[in-house]
Amino acid sequence: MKSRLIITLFVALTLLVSGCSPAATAAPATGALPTDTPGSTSASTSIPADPWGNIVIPPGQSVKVGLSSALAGGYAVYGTDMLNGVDLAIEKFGGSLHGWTLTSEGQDDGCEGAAGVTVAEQFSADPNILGVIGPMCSGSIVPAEDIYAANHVVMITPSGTAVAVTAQGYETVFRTVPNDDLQAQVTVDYLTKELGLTSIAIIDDQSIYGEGLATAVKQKFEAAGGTVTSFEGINRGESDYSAVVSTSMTGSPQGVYFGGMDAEGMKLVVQFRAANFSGVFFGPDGIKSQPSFADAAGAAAEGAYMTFGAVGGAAGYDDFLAAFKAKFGGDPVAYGPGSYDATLILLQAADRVATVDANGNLVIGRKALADSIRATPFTGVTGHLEFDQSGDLKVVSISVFQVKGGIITPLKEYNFGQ
Amino acid sequence: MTLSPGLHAFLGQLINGLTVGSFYALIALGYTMVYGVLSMVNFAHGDIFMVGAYCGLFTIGRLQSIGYLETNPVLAIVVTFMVGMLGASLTGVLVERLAYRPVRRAGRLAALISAIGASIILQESVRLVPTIFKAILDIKIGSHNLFPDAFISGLLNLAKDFGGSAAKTYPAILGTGGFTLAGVFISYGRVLIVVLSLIIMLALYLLVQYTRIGRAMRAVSEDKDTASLMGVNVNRTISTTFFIGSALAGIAGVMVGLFYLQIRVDMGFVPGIKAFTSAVLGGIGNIPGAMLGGYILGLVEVLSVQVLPAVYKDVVAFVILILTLIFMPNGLLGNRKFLKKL
Repeated sequence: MKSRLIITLFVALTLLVSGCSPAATAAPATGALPTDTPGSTSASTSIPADPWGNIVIPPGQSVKVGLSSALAGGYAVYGTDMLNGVDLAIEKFGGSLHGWTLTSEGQDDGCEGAAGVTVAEQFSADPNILGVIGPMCSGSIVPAEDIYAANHVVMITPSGTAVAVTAQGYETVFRTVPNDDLQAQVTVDYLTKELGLTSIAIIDDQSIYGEGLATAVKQKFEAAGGTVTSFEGINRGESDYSAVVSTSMTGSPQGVYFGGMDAEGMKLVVQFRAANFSGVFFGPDGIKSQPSFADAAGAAAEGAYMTFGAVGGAAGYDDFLAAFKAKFGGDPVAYGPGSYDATLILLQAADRVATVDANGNLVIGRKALADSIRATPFTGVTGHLEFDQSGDLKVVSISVFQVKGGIITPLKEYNFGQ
Repeated sequence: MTLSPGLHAFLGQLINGLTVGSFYALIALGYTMVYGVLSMVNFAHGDIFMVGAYCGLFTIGRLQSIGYLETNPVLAIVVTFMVGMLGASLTGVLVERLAYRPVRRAGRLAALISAIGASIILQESVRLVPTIFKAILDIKIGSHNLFPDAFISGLLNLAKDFGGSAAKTYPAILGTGGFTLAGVFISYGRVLIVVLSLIIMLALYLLVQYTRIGRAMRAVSEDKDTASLMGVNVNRTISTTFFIGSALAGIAGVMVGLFYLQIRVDMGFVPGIKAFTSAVLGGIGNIPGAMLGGYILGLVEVLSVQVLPAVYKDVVAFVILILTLIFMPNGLLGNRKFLKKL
């Protein structure tokens, strides 16, 4: 009797908890935002009506830059680096927008779709969010961008490389990195022309990002006359990949391509080397991390190659690097500089379109903000960033890197769209 | 010697399976021992394994920072294993004392819920260590910090090494060296794991079969009340069981860190369920059964990759669990009454 009561209570409590939270977060995603009421600000005649509504921030409140990235779990090295980039950009911008204090709000999306959607709903419901940097992973962006678009929240991803990211035609979506079609092209070009490989094994992490890349590399490698000896998927977050390592090695490939992230890339390179594989290990931007790939795998990572939307060489990068080191005590990992640029793009556009209404509120038109981002070229620490109609960059470059003496070192740069 | 490619691949996977099986077997022993004495599934066991991995990481990190890991790697690794074991053991004993003993007579459901609660508490505690430390150290008296600055920064660094929500990595010291046997490359890391696991399991078997404490454990598993009347200290025996079972999980945790390098606060969940599967497969409550179950599960899982896509590995493992529960609920070596023999 007593135990039955406990079960009933437990079930009731579970229902209560699980029933509450989605309702609270899902509601704003579908309906209009409470602050999106252009009519209520009609007291001022100077504020132009924005077709998407305005962001209205009362005096004394802060303007928030949202960041959706992996701040916990296996990919936190990347996500934390992005948060650092956002914070440094806010500091560089002076910490305020027309007198309103700027703050960053980092939310953990774990590099996953479901969590990315939850974060998107949270940010969309927050009237103080100016725009969002991220989401970090393509797998979060693709489902989350529907919500950002429906609520007219601008999102600039400094890292989402999948082709699908800008394929849905949303006017609120921007990215400051080349897409994976180009990344795969560079990879295959380097594998076949520079390294002269004719056979590779391919492994991906089954994410929108990893699987898309792996598939593109497979097609392009085969089109270039090469042989793909095996094409395997792995689950993210596991420890032991030795079974896949063994099956990938049975075809005696000259190299291995991994489409995925640092945590699994690090374990794979270690387990490939521990299985006495001496061929090329090649990966995408997801493994270009000094701490969580090169340092973590130690000697096993030596000689591994990866591609990355080029960073550095741009004017002002050295100053950025010095400021970054001084503030966070280490080098940026991967997308810190990109997040810094993306934040500055957002803040500068907001600065251009923001006005103060008769009640002393800061008013930013949502469509005006997106249009201003698209219309205005920006030169940042990652280079010249100019968006086309789809939100992709007009001009991009991708570099091939290699771990040399334990350090990720650039080898060759490819330019597109000149 | 030349082998056909198929046989070659099979032998390679066999070695992989033995390594994975060693982890499952070590963790499964903890499940099975606790089930033996308490007839309950300790669902916090996977998290005790995680605590062991973190204690090991903390130790090896300190040894590395003072340069001891470079000068004396063997001893450093031994110390790491010791601390990992001890950390896991004490956690296990604490969990038993706080979460299971108070509800021991309240029925199986209460113990199960308590175990799930303990699992969540362990995970979140390790996740929150840096946050909690920071909160304590931020306590101010007037405008002054309660603790001196140097002390604070030192302690914060230590706490950061210990937990937190981001994944942590062990230093890569096992290296990738190895030797070739019958055309199959075997790394020294694998040899270390398999051999160490087998030695530990043998030692455990001897302990349970031939020592006074082992006899007490078997007696308690058969009948707590009678054992108590015969002068066995039941509570102490149960604590000892938790201590030993958790120590094995701690060793597995440190091995995972050393071999796979990356550890996370949620790392205990999947291996925990897999080890539970192993224990059920071998016959829960039966010590040799858990070892056998662990190795069988490891081998089947790895060999399945030869015929099925690699992502179905977990499916294979859990199909085994379901089939065992339906057709052979006593497991391979378990007898009709689970508790008869430990």
